[in-house]
Amino acid sequence: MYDQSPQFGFVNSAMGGLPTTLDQINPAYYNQIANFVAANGGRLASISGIRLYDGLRVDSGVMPLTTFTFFQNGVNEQQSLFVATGTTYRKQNIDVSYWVDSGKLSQGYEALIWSMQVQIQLPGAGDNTVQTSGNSVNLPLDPGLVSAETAAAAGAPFKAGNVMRAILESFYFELFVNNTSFEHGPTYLFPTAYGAGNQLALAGVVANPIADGALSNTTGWCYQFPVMRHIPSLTRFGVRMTCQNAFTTAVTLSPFRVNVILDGIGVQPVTG
Amino acid sequence: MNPVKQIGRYEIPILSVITVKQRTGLLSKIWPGYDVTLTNGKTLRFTEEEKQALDQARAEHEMVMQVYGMCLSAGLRP
Repeated sequence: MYDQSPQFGFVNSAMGGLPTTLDQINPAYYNQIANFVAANGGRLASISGIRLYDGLRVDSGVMPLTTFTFFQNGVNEQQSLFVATGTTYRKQNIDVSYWVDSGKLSQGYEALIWSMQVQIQLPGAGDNTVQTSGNSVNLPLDPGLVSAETAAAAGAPFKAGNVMRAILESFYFELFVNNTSFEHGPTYLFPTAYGAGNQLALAGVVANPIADGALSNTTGWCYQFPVMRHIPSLTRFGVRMTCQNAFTTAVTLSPFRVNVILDGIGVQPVTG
Repeated sequence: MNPVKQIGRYEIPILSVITVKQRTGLLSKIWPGYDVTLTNGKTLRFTEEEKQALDQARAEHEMVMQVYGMCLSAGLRP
């Protein structure tokens, strides 16, 4: 750009070439951001980073061949476990972003989303015990000591890599806004940037193995939408998850969580 | 990115404006307004309303760039 001579419309030359555009913005994003800013009165104080998240607690058992839709139940609404649908709990801030209100963003809240991530985090062994009631049902109660691990019991080591692969290839996800579906694919197409660990340690003997570590479907980065997705106020959106392979975790006793995360920027009403 | 915006009678890439000079003297009594020079050397005459429209378009562009910067810092890859 700097080396280019200014051209003033002479024959066979192009018009104007002085370097006035040094900001290097991706043109694909410019108009989307401009519309997002214009729609909200251009007040910077109301704009923040947003990670819309919603979690599903998948308890041990045979995976039901059903569809679960994320972002339909907000804070204080009831949700059931994925396998034992009769077990319900009241969702809290650890479960779902409070911007979500029954399948849509509340009045005055909007988001511009550039990635969709599905987070799976597996430990190398089960928890000694999980919560059996209350709003934390199925979450860890006693993660346990390595010395307490025994085969074929709660807290036993399991093949986390195989469980991870089963999760990666058995669930299908799709993002939708109103009646239109957009990005879609199996779990492995939506890696997350938020995982932790990715190392497993195994020891002991076959009759009495021990394991520690965490396995996550993270590569440190996530898939980015080529076109950012605008989620306006009071507009239905969500992510559908369909199980198409009824694998079982009844033997491994390895409940896991599926967290769907939508990264982007959001706008909210502010006072003052 | 040099956004093309409708500024009154003109549709121009707003960052191609390099100077805006308010008319003074006798000429301003007959044709008040602003002389606006573009990067290609051409000069346009803006009315007061067109000057305000240009100011607003520039402010919007600045805001978009700020939000774009926020997006980049929040993880959007360019």
